[in-house]
Amino acid sequence: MLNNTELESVKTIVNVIPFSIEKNDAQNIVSNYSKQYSVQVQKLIYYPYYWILFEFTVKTLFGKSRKTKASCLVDLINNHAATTDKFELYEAEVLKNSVLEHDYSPEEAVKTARTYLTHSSIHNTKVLFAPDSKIKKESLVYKPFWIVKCTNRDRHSFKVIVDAVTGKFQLL
Amino acid sequence: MNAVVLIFLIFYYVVVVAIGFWAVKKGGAKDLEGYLLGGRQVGPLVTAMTLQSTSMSGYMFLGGGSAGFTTGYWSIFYASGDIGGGVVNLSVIGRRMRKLSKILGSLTSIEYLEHRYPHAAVRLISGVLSVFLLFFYVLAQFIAGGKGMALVTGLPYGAALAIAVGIIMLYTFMGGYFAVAYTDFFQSLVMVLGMVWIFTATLIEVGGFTAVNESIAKIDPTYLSIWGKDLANQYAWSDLLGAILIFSVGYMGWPHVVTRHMAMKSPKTARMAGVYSTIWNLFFVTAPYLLGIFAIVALPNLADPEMAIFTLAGELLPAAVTGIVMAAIMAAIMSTADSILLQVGTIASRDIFQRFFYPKATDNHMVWVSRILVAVIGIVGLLVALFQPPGIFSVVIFTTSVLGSAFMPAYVCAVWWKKANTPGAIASIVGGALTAFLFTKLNVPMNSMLGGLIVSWTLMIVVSLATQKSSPVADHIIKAMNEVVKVGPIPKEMLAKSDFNLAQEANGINKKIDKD
Repeated sequence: MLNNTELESVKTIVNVIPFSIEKNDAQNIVSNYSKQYSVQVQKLIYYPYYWILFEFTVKTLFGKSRKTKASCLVDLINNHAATTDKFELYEAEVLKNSVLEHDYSPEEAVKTARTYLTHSSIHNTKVLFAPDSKIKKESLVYKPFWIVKCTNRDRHSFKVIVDAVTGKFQLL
Repeated sequence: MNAVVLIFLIFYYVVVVAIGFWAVKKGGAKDLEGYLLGGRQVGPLVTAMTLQSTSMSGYMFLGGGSAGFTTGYWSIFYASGDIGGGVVNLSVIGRRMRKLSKILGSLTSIEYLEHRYPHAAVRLISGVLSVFLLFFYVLAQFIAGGKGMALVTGLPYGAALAIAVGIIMLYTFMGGYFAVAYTDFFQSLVMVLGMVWIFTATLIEVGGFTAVNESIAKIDPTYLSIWGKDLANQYAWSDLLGAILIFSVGYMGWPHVVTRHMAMKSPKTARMAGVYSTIWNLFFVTAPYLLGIFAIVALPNLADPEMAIFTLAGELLPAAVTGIVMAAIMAAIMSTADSILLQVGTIASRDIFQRFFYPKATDNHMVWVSRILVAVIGIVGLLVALFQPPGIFSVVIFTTSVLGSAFMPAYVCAVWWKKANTPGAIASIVGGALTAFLFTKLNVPMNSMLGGLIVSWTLMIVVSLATQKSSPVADHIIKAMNEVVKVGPIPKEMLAKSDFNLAQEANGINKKIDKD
């Protein structure tokens, strides 16, 4: 059993995307799709992203400019970007060994996000323009995932990650 | 053509601009935010319609009609491949490519090829080849637009071509400002309406299928043969196979088509898109060829076979409706041309300029490179279409043959064969493209698509196997491919319900934690 001082040394404070899928929920979700398997939730891990809120200025046909916001998450392990719905962040004290280290820097993430958004906007709107974008907010954030192990009678096993925000899952 | 047709065509353009203006000004802005920035799409019907409107090009209205008019029922072989082409394409590479490109972090189809077959030569060869060949496809759209505009306005071909190219270029540079999600949907509706109207009117005019076939038999019964007029293709099995292959598997080599796989939202979208595509294709792919066949009876003195559908519309429909059909044809041309021009711009700026000439290029630099290239293509295309316009049908068949032969094995093996390596891919792309090109230029008595595919597949397999030791497929690619196709004792339901949007995170977590 760790004392308070030891516990402090293994904990860290990070910005986390709020989640509602608890341990039991994760177990139930996976159990629903793997009836013949014994399902065990192993741990909660925190996946690193760089979150950037851009403000875009889009020109319209008659020369007027329209401002719109784009929330973008860059996966800091693979350096891939995606747009995301809006969310609030909160600070959480979590175990250090549950936080995955990131491989890419915030500067690299911002560059990736800009390239992704420019590419998306050109191809989705089918027009040759570089959107004028400004960063309004940015932060290192973590999204929680449950790691779940499934084992059958023959001791064959596989693992699944469950997105603790959405409840969606993927095989590991 | 009378003034009413022209007025309706102009009215059509005014409506397109008005819809775009309304969408930006009023309710569309909120939805557009998601559409603009990717990741989210408008509804499935709108998505399906816009996808199909892109693939429905000037070729369908001019090339398809011309093929039906000149060869008869033989031309349906081209349509038969096209009917199932969308589903084959989605089934063979669609879902797997969506996953693999996400894991590898590829934004363009050419970048994806380099990530899967890691070597700069893959990107350089693929990029240059794609830009070169897509130019010809855009050229076909220019010629189609010019011919259509000449008929509507009564202007000489040169002036009409300049106007058509001008409209296409303007649409490409301005399209996004029109709130493209809504204008594309509107354009596809007009295409549906125009095609249904002209098809129904022509079918009534010729007295139905039985009557038209009897009339064709009196003119020349060989039009009804499966071997084509004058039995020109009798027992030419390679031509028959090539005709079916061209649009069934040829699409797998189109950069602007395979890019769509990378943008799909989910496997369910892929399945639904396959269903919608097949329903759409059953009618719309065969209709232009059948209209060309009907024109053998309805327009016995037609001088230019490529004008078969335009002329049918002018002869059979009221002027206002002809205007709508003309608008439908221009919609098909514009929605295809701008997509391909943007694709060419992206390949040239990102896959060639930034990758090989100026790695520090900003997004603004790349947009300018795209703009300049699109403008150059517009000018060169205009000159070629003006002074030496090739036949639309032959241009599209040539382009599809070379692209399909070059890239189909590379895209298919990228997701299905773990031994497919970089030397195999380079040999396959170069060998396939060269073979299809030379077979066409030298009139080799074998279908160029078939010949190209045989060579490219052989090279992919032989060279990959021969170079396994010197050029093994990298571990991270094998891992990514394993991620795409989960193996092991995993329940089917679990596989079916997995969300592949999390494949990238799963890959990242695998990198970081001990799986056991």
